[in-house]
Amino acid sequence: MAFCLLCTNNEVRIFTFGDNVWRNIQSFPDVLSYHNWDINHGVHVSGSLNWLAILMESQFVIILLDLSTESYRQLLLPQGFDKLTLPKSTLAVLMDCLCFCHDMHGTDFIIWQMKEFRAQESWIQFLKISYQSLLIDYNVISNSLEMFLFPLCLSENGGTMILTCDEYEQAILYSMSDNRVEETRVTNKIEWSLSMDYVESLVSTT
Amino acid sequence: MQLRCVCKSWKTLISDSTFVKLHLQRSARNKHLALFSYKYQTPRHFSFTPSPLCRLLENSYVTLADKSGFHLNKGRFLYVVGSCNGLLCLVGCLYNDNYEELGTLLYLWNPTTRKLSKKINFPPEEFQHN
Repeated sequence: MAFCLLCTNNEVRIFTFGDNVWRNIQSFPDVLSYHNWDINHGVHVSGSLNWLAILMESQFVIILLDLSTESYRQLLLPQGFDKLTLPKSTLAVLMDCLCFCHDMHGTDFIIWQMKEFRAQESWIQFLKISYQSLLIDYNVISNSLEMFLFPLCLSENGGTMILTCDEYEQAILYSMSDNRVEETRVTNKIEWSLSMDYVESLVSTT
Repeated sequence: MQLRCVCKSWKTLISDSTFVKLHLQRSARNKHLALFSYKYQTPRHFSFTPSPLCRLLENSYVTLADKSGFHLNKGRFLYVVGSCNGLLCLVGCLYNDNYEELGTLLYLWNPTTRKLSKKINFPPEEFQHN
């Protein structure tokens, strides 16, 4: 297992358990980091870490770090949908596929899916959901710096998606077939600051 | 976890790497939703709430149990940066009484076994990302 750490001067270090040392790898490519780190955590897909980054000409790209070769690659986003003017842009993983999510005109939430990983021509628009159908008032949360909507997982048959909405402190259960939100049956209310998927394991921490 | 206390041979089996791998393979099919909350009190408190995703997807009635992770010493704050194979990566900050940052800490935590790793040495450069 390894940690990847991006330092201020684009240095990247990897920590490997067992050796318990940090070592430098090739520096991060010369692009502008996308500084909204709260929502731009590197996402892990097929042995690589992927970040949103900004090219000089105000364009979003994905920087991919292949953990086996420790080399970088640049992936283009769907053509016409890579502008910095797209608010709330973030990366996610659904059904092992890399996804790019963003707001559209303050009315819709768009999810693009890269059908074949590393093949930038394989982007498809996977989902377009209106905030109205999600029962979300975009105006209330549009000023938030945090990512307000995040697709967390899809059911195995692809019929239901769980989105998390940290601002609303709740999970959103979205039926893909009916295009509507189902009211969740969570019987108690808890403070909800951050959510992610997780599996139970007996893996040692040493 | 109670099963580890049954007898020595069960404890050995449960710690065996092949058993751990087989358990992880089965467990990986049953993803959980992990919720984290931070209560800005002293001592700073980090709370973790796991819930099987299948129960949420089926839209069954779910009661979220607050399995508090840590009651940290004064002047420490932890947040979660990622999860892999049932381990959570926690980054912590040390503060003095004036809330000036004194340093950064990195830990691995397995909420299932409730085991926390030793502090992982952190490079001196300013931390930006996991």
